[in-house]
Parts: sequence; structure tokens; C-alpha cells
Amino acid sequence: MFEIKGITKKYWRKTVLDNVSFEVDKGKICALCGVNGAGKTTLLKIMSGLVAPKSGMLLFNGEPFVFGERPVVSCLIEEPKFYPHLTGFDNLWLLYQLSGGKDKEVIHSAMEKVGLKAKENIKYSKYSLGMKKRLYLAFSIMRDSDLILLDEPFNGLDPLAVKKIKEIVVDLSKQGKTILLSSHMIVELEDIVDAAIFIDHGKIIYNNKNASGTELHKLFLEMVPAEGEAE
Amino acid sequence: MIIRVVRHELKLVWSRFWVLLLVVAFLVGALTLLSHIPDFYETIVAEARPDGVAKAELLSQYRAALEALDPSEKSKIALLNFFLKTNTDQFEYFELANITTHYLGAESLATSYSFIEGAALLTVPLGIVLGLLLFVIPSKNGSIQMELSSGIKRSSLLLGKIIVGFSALLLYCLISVSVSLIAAKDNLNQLFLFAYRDGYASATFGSLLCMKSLGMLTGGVFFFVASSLLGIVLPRSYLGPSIIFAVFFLCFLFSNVKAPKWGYYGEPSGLSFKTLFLIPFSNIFLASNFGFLDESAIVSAVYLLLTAGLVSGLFVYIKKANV
Repeated sequence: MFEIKGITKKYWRKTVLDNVSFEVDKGKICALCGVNGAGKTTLLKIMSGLVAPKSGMLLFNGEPFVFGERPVVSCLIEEPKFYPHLTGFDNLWLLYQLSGGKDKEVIHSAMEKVGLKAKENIKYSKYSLGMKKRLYLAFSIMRDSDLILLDEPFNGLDPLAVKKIKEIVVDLSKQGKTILLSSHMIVELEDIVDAAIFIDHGKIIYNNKNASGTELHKLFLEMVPAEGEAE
Repeated sequence: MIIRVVRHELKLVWSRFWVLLLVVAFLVGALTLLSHIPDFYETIVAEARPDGVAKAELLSQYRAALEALDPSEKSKIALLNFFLKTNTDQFEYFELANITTHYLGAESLATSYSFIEGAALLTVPLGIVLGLLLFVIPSKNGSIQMELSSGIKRSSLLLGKIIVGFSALLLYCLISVSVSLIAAKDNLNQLFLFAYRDGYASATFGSLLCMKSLGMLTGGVFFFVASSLLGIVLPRSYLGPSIIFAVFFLCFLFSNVKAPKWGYYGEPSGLSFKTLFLIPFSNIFLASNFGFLDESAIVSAVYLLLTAGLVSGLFVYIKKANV
């Protein structure tokens, strides 16, 4: 189980996250919803170790996170930043070797799981956006990630690519991977999520661990007032 | 973990084979051209000791001349004092100011020196390009975050990249000095005379080349780290390195205006101690030319301290700003 306890983050005087706490069970898909600027990306960056919080704790099975060791966290923010001049396979192989891996079969298997086996020898720069995001998911599989954080994974994708990514995400959760999906395209999340968290102005306003089947989009519109209507 | 990072960086360099090839071709081409500079100058005939004049006789002539000189002729007095103190005469030295022109019978000196001069100047763009490739571009395009995502520690990643940069510069300097030493192998013990403050000093050609390569390395490392840090801090990838190069270029021009001819071919007596610090960038090469002088040790130490400060800055910035 992943526990986020009392995370607060400030940029200068602006509070981006204010005492954020929630839990996500292992192997679940959790939606993190909020409008632009609500603090979703900052929270994901903190959970992946890219940004340090001002206060608060991150726990994995009751123990504090030790970044670089356990849990293994993969975090995709915007578009993946692989080396454009290398093939999909070479990208993963190079990064796998950097992490100490030696077995090429791990890469082949990861690429097969995301449906990129046939495209593994094509240069990354020639990949479509959907393929790039799938390659990142292969990277998460290759790393045997415990927690996969995806920030706006459906942005810029056509319906077929969205469907493919959703299938892979569900498959990963069945393998015991915990996934946190941040998105403002809430409708796209409704059919795959197990839990949901709404965040607004850096605060959690909704936290449901059994959100399966809930009309999240409708609920979100009711709970989060549009700008200018808040008063 | 650091070894894994070094291996990773080398593989990345290898994966951009054509860039590597282009850099090597550029370096070889530029150095070949620069080593031919002496061909454009006239040949100098080194002054030979007249037949039948013994060294002891010359030295006694110097002593007599020294007594007869007016105290206002400080330069001549200093020169004669130098010869008497070192028990040498004027025919044992070549002029440092003429080093890039042919000395009849020792042409290899000019080729060798021109080669290392060219190599020293190319250290600047090389250091800047290394900074761009290892730090600036990966941090701007986000690939550094992918490397961090693969579970490598931030400190190991930075250290590995710095080791690759330093090693590349060290290799470059070693190759340059080796080629220069081989080119001038028959004349490495030839003494060169140059004015130094109110006096004179001398050095063998071999030591001159070695000091030059040390200066190259110090300068190269400085430019590598400075362009890396500035490149990461400033919003555009090429802005920092361009500023560093422009500052170097201006300082280089300025230092050569202050000291007639080319600053480091000429006379260091023309440059005050203060000037060495005020025109920092280009004078690392000047300092290395005269590496056996007091100023050089201090200037080099200042550069190394400055470089160490920049490395620390790079570490802190990358850690705090989460590059």
C-alpha cells in the first residue's frame, strides 16, 4: 500500500499542495483529477522524487520511500524524453544497462507487452505520440515498477491509441502494479479506475477508494466550481 | 554505479558516430592547417657564436659591458646579469618571440609549437561542446530525467558525466602534447629566452610544451564546467555556451591588444600581475606558456578553485532545481 501523508509544497509564497494525504492500494488504478494548476503534476513529481516536498511523508508498506531503491517508481510527465536518434529497443537497452540490467530478453518481453515488438528497430523520432507513451510503459515494465505515475497520458492521442494505453494500464494493474493516472479528461478514466481523488487549489476535495462505476465526470463538475463561480 | 554511467555516456557518444567523426575531422583539419603556419613566415637564422670566440671570453666581455652601462639601461643590465648568473651566453638561446617562425636547422620547433598553440585554442570550443553534449542538451530535452528514472543516483550521474568530460579533455591534451613532443624530439632541450618583469628567464622547449598542455587542460576543464552550469541555468541551450565563447573571444582580443603581438608569444613583462586576473579567460594560456613563473602557479590555482566552485554550483543547482 502507498500512503501519502501531509504533503505540503510551496513555490516561493504560493502554496501548491496543502497537507495532502491519501492512500492507494497495491494493484489498483487510481485517478487523480483536477483542473489545470490544481497541483496534480507537482504531486506526481514529489511522488517520483523529482521534487522535494516542504513537509510530509511518502510511505510504501508502512516504510518511507527510498528513491532509487524501493519502491521503484516510474513517472511519465507530458511526452517521454527518450533519445530520438536511437531505436525504441536501443533506448530501453541503454537505460536498462544503466540500471545494471544485462538480459536483453527483458526488453523484448516488455516491448511485446505494449505491442511494440514489431516496431522495436524503428528510431524513436519516427514513433507516433501513442507509440512513444507505450514505449514509456514498456520502460516501466522493464524496470519492474511498483508504482506507475502517468500525467495526462491521453493528451494528444487518437481514440485507438487511448484504447491501447487503457488496455496496457489495466493489464499492468492485473500484474499487481499500482497506477496513478492524472488527467482532466475524466470521462476517459471512468471505465478503468478503481479509486479516485479530486484535487483543487492544492487540497484534496474528494477521495473514494471504491470509485468503480461512479460517474466521475459528473461528480467532478458538481464539486469543482468553474473559475469565477467560486465566490 | 559511476562506472555504469561512464559506460552509458561512452555508448551514447558512440551512438552519435557521425558527430564524433565530424569533431575528430574538424580537430585534425584545424590542427593540420595550424601546424603549417610557420610556412608563411620568414626563416630566421639563429645567431651562431663567432668562430674563435670562447664562452669564457664572452662572459668577461659581458662583465666589462655591465660596468660600463648607464644605470638607466635597466633592460640591458638585467640581460647581462642573467647571462652571468646562469653562466650562459646569448648564442645558447633562441628568442621566444620568434618561436613560430623557422629557425634554420630547427624547423620542427615552429611546427611543433604552432601545433600545440592551435590545439590550445581549440580546447575552448572542445570544452564548450562537451558541456553542451553532457549536461546542457540532456537537461534541456529531458533525457537526464529518463536517466534518473532508470534508478541511477543523481550524484553518480553527475560524477559520471564530469569524469567523461574530464577524461576527454585529458586525452585531447595528452595527444596534443605527445604529437608536439614527437615533432620536436631532436630539439626538446633547446633553451628559449624571454623577458620577465624586470629580468629575464629561460626554459627548455620540452618544458614549455608540457606547461602549455597543463594550461590547456586547466582552461579546457574550466570552459567545460562553466558552459555546463551557465547552459543549464539560462533558459536556452545555446545561450550559456555562446556567452562563454563571446567573453573568451573578447578577452582574447583585449589581452592581445594590451600585450603587443600575441599576448603569449610576447613578453609577460608587458602584463601586470593584476592584468592576468582581469583578463582571465585567455590568459590561462599565457600563464601556461610561462608555467615556471610565480604568477602561473597562482593563476592556475585560482582557475582550479574557480572550477571546483563551478562544479559545486553545478551539483547544487541540479539537485535543488531538479534538472
